[in-house]
Amino acid sequence: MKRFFLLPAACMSFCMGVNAQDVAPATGEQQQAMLKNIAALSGKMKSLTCDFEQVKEIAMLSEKMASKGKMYYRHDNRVRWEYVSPYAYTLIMNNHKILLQSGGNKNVIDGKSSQLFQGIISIMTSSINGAGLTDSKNFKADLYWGEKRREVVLTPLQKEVKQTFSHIKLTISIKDYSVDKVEMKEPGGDVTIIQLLNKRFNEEIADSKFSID
Amino acid sequence: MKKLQIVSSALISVWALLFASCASFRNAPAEAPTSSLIFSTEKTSQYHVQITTNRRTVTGVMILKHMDGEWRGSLMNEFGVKAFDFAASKKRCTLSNTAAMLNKWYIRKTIEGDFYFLLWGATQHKRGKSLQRLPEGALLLKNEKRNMTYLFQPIGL
Repeated sequence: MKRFFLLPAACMSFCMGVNAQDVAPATGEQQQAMLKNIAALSGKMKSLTCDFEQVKEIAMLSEKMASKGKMYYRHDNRVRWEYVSPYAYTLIMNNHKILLQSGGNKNVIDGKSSQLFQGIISIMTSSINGAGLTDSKNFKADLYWGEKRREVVLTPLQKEVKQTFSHIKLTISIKDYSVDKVEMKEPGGDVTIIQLLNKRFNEEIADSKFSID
Repeated sequence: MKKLQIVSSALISVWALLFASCASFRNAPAEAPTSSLIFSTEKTSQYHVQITTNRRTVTGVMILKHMDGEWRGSLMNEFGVKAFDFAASKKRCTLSNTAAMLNKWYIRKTIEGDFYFLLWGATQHKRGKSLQRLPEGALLLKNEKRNMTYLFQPIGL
């Protein structure tokens, strides 16, 4: 638990930004409460269906790129991340198999074969069920407490993922402890912000949504 | 020749790992090579990018802007994971913030050469490289030396 109290220097500037938004490092008691509530949600969440809006801020150009789509999650390690605008692109994760589909182009890869893809899978599932909090092999987790929301800052520990993301911030609803927003910061200064909207829990999702064949 | 094959093979392998989407080659209709500036200097442009070799195809998204007399942009996969930023002045193109898997000198050199040709060199004859305008604002860049093609399709037009 000690690690939750320590604020690494590398994250200092980022966390100062966090503090400016009315959250503060969680106390031991608050951490226990957060972990308990997130674990409780994860335990009873069999599926999640939602819309998402993604904005990528490109530091070098001072520009933003927006996209949106639909996300389907099932607790048996299945995720469908489907962009519908401004382009069609689908990522399906079915256990360790990953399908990437762009237009008529399809590619199936084994997530086990790439540390980067394993990291991306971890980030995706963490964003949905909070698994990153207990994934001490892949992430260092710092927890923050605010009146209107809770936040978790995940710092990747694996080399390949660290080269891609300097940290990932999850904004958590105090209503149901589900993740409302994911911010992924890259070493070069770019930020990708994904908002999960219209969340529906435990609806039936057909197997075909996660079909890789 | 073997060295070229190794470079081409290594290049597409890391592209594939980063972007990882595969398809068969799509032949584009042949048209005369362009000889004019083809990107807007007034507004930021976005393109869906498809890079093909004889082994596979990978896809991503490019954002491009004209700033301070040079072209600057960023290439990433559809999920938002960056491959690299680039800046192309009249003299040269350089990559920055390059994803670790692409950050090899021979890969950077190939991409820098191709993007310089795309952004500045299309008005000049360059052996082994060509740029074609396709319907609906799409562009097809061919690098015959590396046996690679880049298809750029505008987003949001």
